[in-house]
Amino acid sequence: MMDNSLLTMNKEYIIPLLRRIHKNQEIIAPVKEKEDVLFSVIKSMDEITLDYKNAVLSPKGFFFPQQEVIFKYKEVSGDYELSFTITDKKRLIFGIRSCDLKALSFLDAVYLGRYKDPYYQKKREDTTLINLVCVSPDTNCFCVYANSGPMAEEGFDLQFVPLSNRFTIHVGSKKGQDIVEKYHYLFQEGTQKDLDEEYEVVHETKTKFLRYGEFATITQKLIQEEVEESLWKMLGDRCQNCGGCAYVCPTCSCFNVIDRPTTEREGVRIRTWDSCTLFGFTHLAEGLNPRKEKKDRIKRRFYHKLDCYMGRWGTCGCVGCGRCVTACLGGIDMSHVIHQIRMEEYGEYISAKDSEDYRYKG
Amino acid sequence: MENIYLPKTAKIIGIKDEGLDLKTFTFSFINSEVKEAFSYKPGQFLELSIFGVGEVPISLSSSQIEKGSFQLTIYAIGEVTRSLHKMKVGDVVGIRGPFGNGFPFDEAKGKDILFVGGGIGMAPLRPLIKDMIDNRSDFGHIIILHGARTPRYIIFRDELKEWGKVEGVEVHMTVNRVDGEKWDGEIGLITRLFDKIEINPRNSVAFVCGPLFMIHIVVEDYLLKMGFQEEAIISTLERHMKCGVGHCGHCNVGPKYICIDGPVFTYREMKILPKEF
Repeated sequence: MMDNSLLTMNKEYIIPLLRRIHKNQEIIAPVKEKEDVLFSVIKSMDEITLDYKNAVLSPKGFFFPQQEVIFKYKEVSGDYELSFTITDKKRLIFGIRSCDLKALSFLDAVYLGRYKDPYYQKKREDTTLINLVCVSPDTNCFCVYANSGPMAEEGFDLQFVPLSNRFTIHVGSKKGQDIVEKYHYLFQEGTQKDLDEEYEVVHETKTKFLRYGEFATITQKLIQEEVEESLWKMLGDRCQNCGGCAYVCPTCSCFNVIDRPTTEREGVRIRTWDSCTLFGFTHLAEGLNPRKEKKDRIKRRFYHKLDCYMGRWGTCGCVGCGRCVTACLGGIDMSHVIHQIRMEEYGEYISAKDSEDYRYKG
Repeated sequence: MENIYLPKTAKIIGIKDEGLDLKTFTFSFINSEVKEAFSYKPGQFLELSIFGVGEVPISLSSSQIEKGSFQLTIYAIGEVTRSLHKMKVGDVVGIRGPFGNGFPFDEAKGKDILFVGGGIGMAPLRPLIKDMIDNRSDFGHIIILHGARTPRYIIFRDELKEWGKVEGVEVHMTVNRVDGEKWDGEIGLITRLFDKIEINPRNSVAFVCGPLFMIHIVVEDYLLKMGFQEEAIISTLERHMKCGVGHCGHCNVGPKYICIDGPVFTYREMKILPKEF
């Protein structure tokens, strides 16, 4: 009964399922906090909301925290003692969207490549992922273009697709299969009718996207160096140097490493999220900096997400979650940059929101 | 699970002045198992920690002779390196690595070798030069060019002299200017030394390390024009690799991560990187 077979579940059973799972492990789920929805470790089931487009931040921070202690050091009789903690805690994330799920596979490519990051690896292994397919995308979303949604192709343990009164459920791993077997009485075998309805729901969702994000041709243009420097200059001028795009980006994985002494003989080494749009990112000793200008940093950011990812991992480095669209004060987000390159208006800011050309035409 | 972020502690067992603000430090791991297991290739780098200050990537400047001890030749130029220069024999640092690909060695066998080292760029070349001289019969003619800012910046002075005495090895030096020091050698850029050498580019490999502008001039205005193949020109690139293992993103340039794809690159690989190099 692995991924081929379809299951269904009455929508009202979702909380009972999570409540049962919560007895044995931590659950991270979307929680409404005033106007915002954020992924949080929940205490009780009534905190969970299913009424959200996507969380303000992706669950990236649960695997790669904004700040993380790498180790503590302490000078002891002419040597240093180093100690580190790797949290050992089984947990489940419910409600991750397919875009953020795909973003995790990019973090895997970076942190679990030739060298394994032990802090990330353990958290990743200890986490069960249930994605809830999005049927009402936000105005800033464009996952359809990034091949990351609305449904996920892989990376989930269980995938839930909301239909009228029930979910269709796809099993993606042994972890997911174990849940289904343990709580089998909450699940039902799916039928062709369920599959048909799922197809319709997902298909209809695809028509609701308002942002444009044609990656393949844009990436080609970057590789062929057909984009004029004036675009990067204009975008650089608009950049506020806040680093926000990287912090909200579910695929951004760069970090800085800092030593923080607490006394003369001891302290901690930490890592913190970093952003390639900040001046200090490539700052070298002797005051050298190969990317002194904002335009160079912006250019490199988009080359990295599009060209470098494509060359290295065969995919674009954007999942179309739209968070940079929301976050960037200067309008230097992925969707906008793609739009600008496509329109070949390199030196002038095009208000993407007003442009008819920006709309998805099915 | 091995924690790749955890340094191993090592003691400074020797410090040699190499010139102004320039020292070669010899380190030895404190733990005997670590000492035993440690091995590396010329061209690889280590992450050097001074606890409480930070961590920086530094090329190994020694060839692997003694188990568990190694050398780093360091210019006092940033926070960590300036702190290191204040340290003395017996002080303890942290070491991770070795990381990076290292220089091709076997591939260069049977060929003539040209080394072009500008300033501290000689540091990563030194272990390769030593290994090639130790395996003298495997290589053809060896030419070493070294350029320094002023005579007091000439690095590995005694060794350069010794290497020059080995049969089939030529050493040429130049300084950019003389700052009141005694110097009766060449004055001018390293490229001046190309007038003094004869090399058959078809059967040679050139190893070029130094400041970026020097690499560009040496490669584009000299080596390529002389007829060197792009893949027979080998250099190392530098960035502040904060992790050394392809995670932190600081050394990403174009499609490459200098820490795991380099730091050693052929000119063929280098020339497709964005203009920042």
